[in-house]
Amino acid sequence: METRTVKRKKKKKEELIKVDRISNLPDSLIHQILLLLPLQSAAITSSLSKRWRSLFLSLPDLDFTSINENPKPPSFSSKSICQLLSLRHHRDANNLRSLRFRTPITFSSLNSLIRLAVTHQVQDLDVEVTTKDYFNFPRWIVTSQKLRALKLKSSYPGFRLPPSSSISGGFQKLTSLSLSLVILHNQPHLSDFFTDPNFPLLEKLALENCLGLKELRVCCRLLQEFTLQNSLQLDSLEVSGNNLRRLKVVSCFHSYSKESVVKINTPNLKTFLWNSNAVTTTVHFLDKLVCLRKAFVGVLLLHQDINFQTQCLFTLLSELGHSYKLQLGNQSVEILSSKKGLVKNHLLPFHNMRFLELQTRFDRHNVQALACLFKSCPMLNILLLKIINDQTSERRQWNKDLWDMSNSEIQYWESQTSEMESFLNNLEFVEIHGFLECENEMSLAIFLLRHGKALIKMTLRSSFLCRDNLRRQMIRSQLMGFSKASSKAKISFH
Amino acid sequence: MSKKMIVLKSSEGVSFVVEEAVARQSKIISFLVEEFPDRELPLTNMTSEILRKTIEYCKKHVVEDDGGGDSSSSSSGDLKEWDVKFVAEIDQPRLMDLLMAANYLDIPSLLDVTCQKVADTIAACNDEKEIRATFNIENDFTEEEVEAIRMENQYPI
Repeated sequence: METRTVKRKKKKKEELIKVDRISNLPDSLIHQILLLLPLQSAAITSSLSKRWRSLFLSLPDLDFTSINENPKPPSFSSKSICQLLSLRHHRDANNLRSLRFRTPITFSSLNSLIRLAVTHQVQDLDVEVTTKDYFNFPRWIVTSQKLRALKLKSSYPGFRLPPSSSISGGFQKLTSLSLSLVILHNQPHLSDFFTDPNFPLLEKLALENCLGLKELRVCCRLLQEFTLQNSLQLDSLEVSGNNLRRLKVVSCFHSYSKESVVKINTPNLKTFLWNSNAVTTTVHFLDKLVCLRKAFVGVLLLHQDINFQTQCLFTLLSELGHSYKLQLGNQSVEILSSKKGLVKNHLLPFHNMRFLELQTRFDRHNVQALACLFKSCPMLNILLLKIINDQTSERRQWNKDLWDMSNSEIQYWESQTSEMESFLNNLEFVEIHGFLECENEMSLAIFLLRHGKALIKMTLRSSFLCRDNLRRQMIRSQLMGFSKASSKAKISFH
Repeated sequence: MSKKMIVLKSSEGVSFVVEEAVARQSKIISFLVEEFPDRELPLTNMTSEILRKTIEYCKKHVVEDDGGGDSSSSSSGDLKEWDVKFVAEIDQPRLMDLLMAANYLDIPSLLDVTCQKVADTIAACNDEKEIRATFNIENDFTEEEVEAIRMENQYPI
């Protein structure tokens, strides 16, 4: 009896294993599984059975860049993309959710591919192409009523935008747009292109490598994020939008033009990133940035009229007074350290500022500017100092024998104590990167330890440059043994 | 304070007493607990075996918030390793049951883990014949159709 039951059980188990369970899963689950595979592997399943074929041909996301071959080719060829798209059923509603490809392509193939994608009601289109010559923006995209996100990038040689008049009424559902390598020599003034009638739902806009663009106005009611990069011919930029939270402008504006003007009308801006832009650009904020949380200011210093550059930087910084966090690039610190900089002019205090990050070579001439900056941040909690150590920096070694306070730098910092009282009473965390025990950073560290009443932790990170270890050990133990204003202050070396 | 417990009942009528926080990782149970507090929840389409497995997974992944410092019992790296082992030990029919259970109970992380395991199994096969053999899929194409599809699938890259 027993053996028979065991046998029967065994037989039953074998039958159980033989059942095709996977094909009976709901479509959505099989799609979820197929989307975890590189497209090529997913394509193989289309020859399993009729059910699997229709499942593959109704896959909602097609990423032709997901390939598991080694070495990895950039994408499927345009021919196979076209072939696969034309096999799909046109009639299915909510057909193609996203399509992504990167490939060298001809104009006609690109146009027919985009036309196919639009027929399949694509919602998210991400395209990077290389062509033989400039191409015109595929007009099929404009007419799509389903498209929500579009990323169009030319690796080479670029594409042209349609005239504003021809896109009016298009892009009605678009919420995210990203364009790269746009040739604008024949339409350098885009003053009514990125506006509400053309992009009524746009929330995110990124423009990169806009060749020939001189004047740009972006005015979209719902826009939340705007990024502009590598547009060196630009001399006029106007951005407005009540919903704009994040504005990033990198490597833009004509360096030697004094007339570059930026007008920003974004009362709810939270993040302002301004990097590697010509410092001579005048920035006007039409509204006070009362919501600002984070600001980065990195400018390109030019070998010309330092007065004007300083003036521009001061104007810009004075508008960022409400920020919670401020980061300043090395060249911004250099301008502030110049003879016309902070020594001559005062910044209004940053009353909201809790976090300050500075990049600097930290030469002798930077010391006064740093002191002035600290005075302007009476409520600061966190200070991050990133010292750039390279061949050109000529920083003086700390003389470990001069341990008495006769060192001139220490004396300078000591003389600033009363003016810096609020700063010293609030500062909790200090982190110095590139700490090589040179005179400047040692003096500053000692000063902050001696007077920082709220100090909780000081972190000193040395860069990879190897120095005399014994000397370092001695200096460190000197620092550790030093009397501190705050009983809870800890020093850690990394 | 003792932790609140709830009772889940499998298709065989076996009751499982589970901490509410553990069971609430299922969005469906979370919803049901709020709608019908203090009631046994019958899960008629889940066998005891699969329910036990699902609970085992949820217990491992529960994030306790007793106000104690360490909220999660294990680090994310350990958890990943545990997940891999968890699905590796399950045979294929039960993996399908578990996948369906994760889908039915709406436990996204368990669904991800089980789908990934199936995807890995497919990816490990060399051709469609091996996939068919692994999952017992019946080929309902004619010879000509197979040949036509094979031609289509020669995607030049």
